[in-house]
Amino acid sequence: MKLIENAKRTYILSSIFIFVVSSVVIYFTLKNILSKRQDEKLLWDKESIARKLKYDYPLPIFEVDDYESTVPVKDTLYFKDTLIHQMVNEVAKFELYRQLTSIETLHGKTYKIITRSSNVRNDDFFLVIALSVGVVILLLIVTVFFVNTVIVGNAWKPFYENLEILKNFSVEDDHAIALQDSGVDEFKELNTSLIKLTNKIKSDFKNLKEFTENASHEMQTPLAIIQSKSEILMQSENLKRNQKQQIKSIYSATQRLSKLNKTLLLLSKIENRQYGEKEDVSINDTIEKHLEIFEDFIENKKITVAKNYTLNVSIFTNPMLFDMVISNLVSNSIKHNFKNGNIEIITTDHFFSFSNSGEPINIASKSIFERFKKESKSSDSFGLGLAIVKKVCDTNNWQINHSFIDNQHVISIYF
Amino acid sequence: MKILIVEDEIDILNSMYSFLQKGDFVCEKSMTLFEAEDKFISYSYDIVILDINLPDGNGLDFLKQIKKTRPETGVLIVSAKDSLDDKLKGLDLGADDYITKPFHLAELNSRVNSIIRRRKFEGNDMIIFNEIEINPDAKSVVANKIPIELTKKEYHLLLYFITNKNRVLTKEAIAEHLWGDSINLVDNFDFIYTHMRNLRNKIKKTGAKDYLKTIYGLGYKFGDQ
Repeated sequence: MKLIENAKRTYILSSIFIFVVSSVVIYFTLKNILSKRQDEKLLWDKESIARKLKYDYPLPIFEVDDYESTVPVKDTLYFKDTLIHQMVNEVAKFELYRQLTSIETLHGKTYKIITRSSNVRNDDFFLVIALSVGVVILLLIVTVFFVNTVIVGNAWKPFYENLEILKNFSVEDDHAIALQDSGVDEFKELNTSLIKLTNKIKSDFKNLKEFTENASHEMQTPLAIIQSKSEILMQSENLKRNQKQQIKSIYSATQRLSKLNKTLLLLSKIENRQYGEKEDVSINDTIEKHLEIFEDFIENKKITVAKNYTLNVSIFTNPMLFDMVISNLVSNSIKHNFKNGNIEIITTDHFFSFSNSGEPINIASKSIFERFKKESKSSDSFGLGLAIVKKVCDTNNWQINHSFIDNQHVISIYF
Repeated sequence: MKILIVEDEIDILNSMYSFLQKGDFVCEKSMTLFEAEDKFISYSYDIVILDINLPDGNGLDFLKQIKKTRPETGVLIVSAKDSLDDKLKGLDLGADDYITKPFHLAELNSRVNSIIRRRKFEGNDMIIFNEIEINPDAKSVVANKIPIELTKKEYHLLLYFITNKNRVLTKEAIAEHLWGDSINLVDNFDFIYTHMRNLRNKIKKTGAKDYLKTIYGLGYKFGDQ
């Protein structure tokens, strides 16, 4: 739920609650005060009747009835609500009355004085209260709705626009992030912090990239020295067996290191988008070219290659990068294959895929595209091949998928 | 054959020098652009091996100068940068080849020899090693006066061996020479044995001597020493 909706709902719900509670309180308070007034009035009426009776003033309208009472009576005074049958506009109706009954002894005579007052007016009064509270609540809801959607909505607009900008933020983008200005102080502060944060992220990312690049470049010369020196050393006559072995170890380790170095440089180059020129590249031709390069490896493992090509499919990309993708996919499907295994290559006008027989992998499908992820620790590979493929796919906005179905590894690229 | 090696890193310079010197080359060393230009004016060289990044300038400027004054000189560019731009620029300016550091010395030697062959400095196109003769134009091989049918890979393997004769060659260097950079993606070199064995058998069949020796733990050596 959006913050505005949330606030709106809470606001309306709580105001309804407050209005209901306050109207109940008002109702009872008013009712209480009114009844008190009514009772006072009844008492006052009774007093004035009693006074007239006491001093034998003639009572204006009332008649005094005589009753014989056997029960000794005491002086009493009590209020009650009672229904009185009445004819109003020729319709018989029960009306609620407040009634004061008092029994009083004056000059040795006992009088029972009953005074009443109608409750009808009070009820009308309560109705008015309820109605006005209702109208106020309605007005409030309308106002809250209006204020939120129009005024607050306007105030939040830059926020949502900025949110959209942030969603599209990429550390690899060269431009500083441009956020919408808004008059709200909190949003201004948020923008300042966000700009600071993203700039920091960008500069850190850039430094890291530069560091990797510089480190890799600086490593090349020492590597070249070690490699050439070990090769010169190999040419020496009369080397002992263990000396040869040690030289070979140095040599092999250097080879590994320089391979790693080259790959890391390549990755950072792709990241820096230093491969620009794009053109239409034939997918089938590129695959064929690499199958030929790896022919010996395929034959050595006695792998069967099944091709399921769609004619004349091309992809718009940088040819060198595409070469890298195909070369990695081909070598990958050979490397992780069984002896006498199989490879199936499918090309269509919107995707191409490489499937090969192979051992199931323990790592998750997604993470096989991460750097240095590899299945066997003993293997000489660095686990960078698929990372390169993924990187190229990312820079071209292609989708890459890996799945393992029926003992077949399938890597598909949708473009 | 005179070669000028221009490289500012003394250790690499000395390695190149001693490896190439062992062949039939006369090498001169130069650590700065200034020194190289000075030598180039005073003497004539068949090949210049040129590092692009030098302390006192860019090797590409020197390349321009070489191509202007003595265009017949072969130039092999050596760079620490595996940059396509540099490579294209270098080749555009008239360099014959481009090699990225770190490289195998045998590969360097092979590239230098290939430049020499292309430029036909020696007049004689044929590459002759004892009873084995290679015609690089026709890509044909004759051993003991008997023509041998070689596959493309076997032919390049033999050419590589003869170019780097009497030198120890590692499996890695051989594989990289024959299969290029793609070899970096493979971690098993067993497949080269097949090619090696086939080549050996085809040469032996003609009655020629078996020059291919396995050097324990290191690799192979082709030669008569």
